[in-house]
Amino acid sequence: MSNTTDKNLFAKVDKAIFEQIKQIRNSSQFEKVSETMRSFSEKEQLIINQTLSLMTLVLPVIAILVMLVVRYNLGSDLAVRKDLEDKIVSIKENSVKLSSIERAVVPRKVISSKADLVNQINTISLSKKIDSKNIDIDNFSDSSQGGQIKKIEATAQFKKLTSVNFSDFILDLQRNLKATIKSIEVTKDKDNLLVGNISFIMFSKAN
Amino acid sequence: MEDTSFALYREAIIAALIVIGLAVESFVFINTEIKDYNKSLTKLLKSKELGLSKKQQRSFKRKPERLTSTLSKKERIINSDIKTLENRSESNAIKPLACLSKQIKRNDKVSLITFKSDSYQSEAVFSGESATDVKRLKDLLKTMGLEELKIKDINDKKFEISFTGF
Repeated sequence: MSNTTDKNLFAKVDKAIFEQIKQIRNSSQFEKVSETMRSFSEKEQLIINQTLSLMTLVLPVIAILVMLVVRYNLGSDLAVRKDLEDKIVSIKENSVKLSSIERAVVPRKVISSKADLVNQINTISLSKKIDSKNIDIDNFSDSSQGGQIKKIEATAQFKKLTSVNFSDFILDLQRNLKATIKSIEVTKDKDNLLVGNISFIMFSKAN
Repeated sequence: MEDTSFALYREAIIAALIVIGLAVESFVFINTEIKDYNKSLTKLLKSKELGLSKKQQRSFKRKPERLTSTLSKKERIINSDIKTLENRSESNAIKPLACLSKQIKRNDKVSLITFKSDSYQSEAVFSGESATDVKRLKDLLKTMGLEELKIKDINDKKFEISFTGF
């Protein structure tokens, strides 16, 4: 049924095309063109006919190619915008995630060097009435995986700390600098004061 | 001649249909979608999280590729920071010390002399005023559920323990 309809449709189109050709052939303009053509030699007529045929064959192909190029460019433009939107959504989502982890893990103060860390440790010592000479920072190293946050590792060597000093210091190290204690070694000296070292890891935003 | 004209006519019609189809798809559907994206992107690009300047925000209609590369860099940095923070070790060497201190705090007659711990193993040396105090402390430590607990006597009033976990 559908095949018959298709055939009828093409037959109608073909008929219409024939009608058009007939009309063109009967028109005065066609006559003029034919007369002009007849004024040329046979060889020239052949060249003109072949050129016109070639142009009629090639022009629609060129038109299709041009449209394909336009469509490809617009499609690429659209793809870039889609990619841009996906990136923005991803950045927004991950920024929220990063902020929430940062709040728990990264201190507000930026530690960009050993001197900055020593300053922070001295501030803690001062606030807890610990003699800053009794705490030394050693083995400072920082590393980054290409982001804005760097991992800092260091060792705090301490001596002559009372138990209260020691626990205050550890608490502030964890609370203010958000440090994680990697290893610890502590011994009571002959005066019953604490001596030892604490290796810790912390994170800081890069400048 | 008539056959050629007929074939060319047909070809022209088919080509015209293809060109019209492509033009409608390109200039109506794709262009409309691009305009919709432009509207939504204009709003999204103002987000504080992106930290883009006004000039960068305006440039996306003409040079979206440049902005894509800027945002890709930003995305990489954020993902790298998340990875750094998520891969951090959760183990804390202070936990076993806090636990032991809490237990011996109740008894003045024993004290923790040395403590050493890393993310895996802990070692401690205790001393007591008498052998009875030391025995009581050992019994208490055995009830704490410390993993792989090993107790080694140094003398009557002093002993060393090692354990894992926390």
